[in-house]
Amino acid sequence: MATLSNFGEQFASKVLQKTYQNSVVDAIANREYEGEIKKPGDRVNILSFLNSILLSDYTVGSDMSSETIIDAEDQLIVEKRKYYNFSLDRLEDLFTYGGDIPENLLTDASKQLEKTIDSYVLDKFGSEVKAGNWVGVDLVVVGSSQTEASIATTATGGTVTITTYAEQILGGTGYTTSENPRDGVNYFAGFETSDLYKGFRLRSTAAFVSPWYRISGITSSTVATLTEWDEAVSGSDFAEGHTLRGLFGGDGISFPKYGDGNASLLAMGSLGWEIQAAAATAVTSGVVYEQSTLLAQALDENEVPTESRKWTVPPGVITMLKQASELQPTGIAEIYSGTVLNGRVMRLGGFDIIQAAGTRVSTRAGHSTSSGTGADTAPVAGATGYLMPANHMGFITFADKWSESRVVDAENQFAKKYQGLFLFGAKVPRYRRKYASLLFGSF
Amino acid sequence: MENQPEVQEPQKTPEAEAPKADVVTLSKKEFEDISHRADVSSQNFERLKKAEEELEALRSNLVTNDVPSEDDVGKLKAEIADIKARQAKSDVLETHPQLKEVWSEFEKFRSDPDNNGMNLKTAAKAFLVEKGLLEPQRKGLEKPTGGTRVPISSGMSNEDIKNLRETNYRKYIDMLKKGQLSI
Repeated sequence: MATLSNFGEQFASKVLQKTYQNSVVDAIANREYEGEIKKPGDRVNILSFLNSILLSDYTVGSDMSSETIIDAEDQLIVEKRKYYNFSLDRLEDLFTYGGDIPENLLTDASKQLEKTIDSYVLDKFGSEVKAGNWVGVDLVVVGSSQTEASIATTATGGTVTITTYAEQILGGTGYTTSENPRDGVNYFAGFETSDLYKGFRLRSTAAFVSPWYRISGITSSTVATLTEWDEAVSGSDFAEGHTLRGLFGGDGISFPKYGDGNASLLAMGSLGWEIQAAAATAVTSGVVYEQSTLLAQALDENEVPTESRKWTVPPGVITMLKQASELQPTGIAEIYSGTVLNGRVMRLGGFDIIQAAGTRVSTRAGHSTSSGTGADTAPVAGATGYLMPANHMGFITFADKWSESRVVDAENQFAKKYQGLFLFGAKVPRYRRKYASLLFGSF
Repeated sequence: MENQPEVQEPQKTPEAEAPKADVVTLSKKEFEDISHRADVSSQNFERLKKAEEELEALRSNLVTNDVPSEDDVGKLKAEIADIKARQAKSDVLETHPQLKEVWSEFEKFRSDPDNNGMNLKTAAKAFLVEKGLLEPQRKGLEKPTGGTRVPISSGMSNEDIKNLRETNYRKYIDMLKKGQLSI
């Protein structure tokens, strides 16, 4: 039974209990970190190894060569602080009447907390999912007789320069609007903020395609900074002296790594370029199942374990899944029908399908379409799409603490107030960026 | 008449003559009482004498011994810590006698890195709640009803739960999710 003397602990424990039951965070994130949280700004450690360990041939009589395993500590910063501060005067009357903290107060408080932590964690996916693991409409600018893009390596990765617009200004023949062979739509052929953290690669003929690099910064519409997807700059899979993988051509998946080994991509001509999932792809009941298989494929190609995979989507996509022809009759077991725990509503294609309602699922504007060329280029803001992540539980680590919970005297009234402080933070260790894929879609 | 020679009688000095003692008559009971007191007094005397001898020996020992070494001090400190730990254990067992049978399991629970730093009493309650050993025994199949009866709590006080939340948040969340915390 609640009294003012134990209200603080009772409120904190009941709100947290409801939050942990219903929030999406507990379904899609882990809490594997070392250290204790005591105050805002505290840091806890997550260890990650950026390099795969080499397995080499042993020759009797020959010395073994030693490999340096790149070891980096990722620190999770408890960066968020939220507080409750409300008067208890009328509540005390309700105690007398009901004998306990009113249920609607607890439900409302926990709903607010759920939305806050769910939105925070889901927002992380848009900046952390591995470049190359996005599913959407890729923007392709085909290589022509002149080089459309080039990369200069730097200490942290590289800088890519698109020559199209600059050339146009100088009276060349490049265009700032380019028809995308993927969907036939004319897009603005330059970098935009909406491209941040997506994958970028050079492309030429079918024999030479670079790996997907991560767009880490947009300097201008023609210049962007690139890093490896895990921000590594050296290791056993880097060519000697280079800070980006695959500079000799080939992404290692579709095409042989290092191409034919004869020429570095940097020195090649006629290169075009590509931005992965530049625009949102349409999600309908007719294609949603196929899109889920592409998400699963991206995880499979990165050798992500098949257990504990989750796909988080808005309610509209849940409806589409239920209507999808591949799921008729409902042969895919809806084992969570009835009681919904942590948002799980069904299981499909190796994923637990997690429903995130309201504004919890992040959105982002797509790449601008445009018309005209050169100085007459008229970009139009791209359609907004949802960022619907598919991930393994190991992808993101979440840490929280209800650090303060107290009943105090109000300063200027003869009354009591409740004050509570909740701290939280989340982090994706760099090596685990490959543990998620992302559908950038609209409906 | 003839004078007989004077015969001097031997001088009797007062010292030579034993004084005549007063005769006191005692009852048997009084006699026994006095005898007993004489015995006790004699024993006390012996004890006192022995204690004085011991004290003398200790004093001479103290004077001749060196200042205690660091090892000795360390040993004493370890003994004191051990006595305190036993006392704390004894207090906890007195409060929760059911812990006696599962003490080794409890020590393993305390040595778990997740539970490090917990106060002994709080750790005992947390352990018992986890094991379900703190729930009050119910008679028959009656379920608790409302009204004036207080709902069954986890057995942990408000202060215990606050302490757990502040010092071992992971354990707090774990117990919360299992429904083992209720005020």
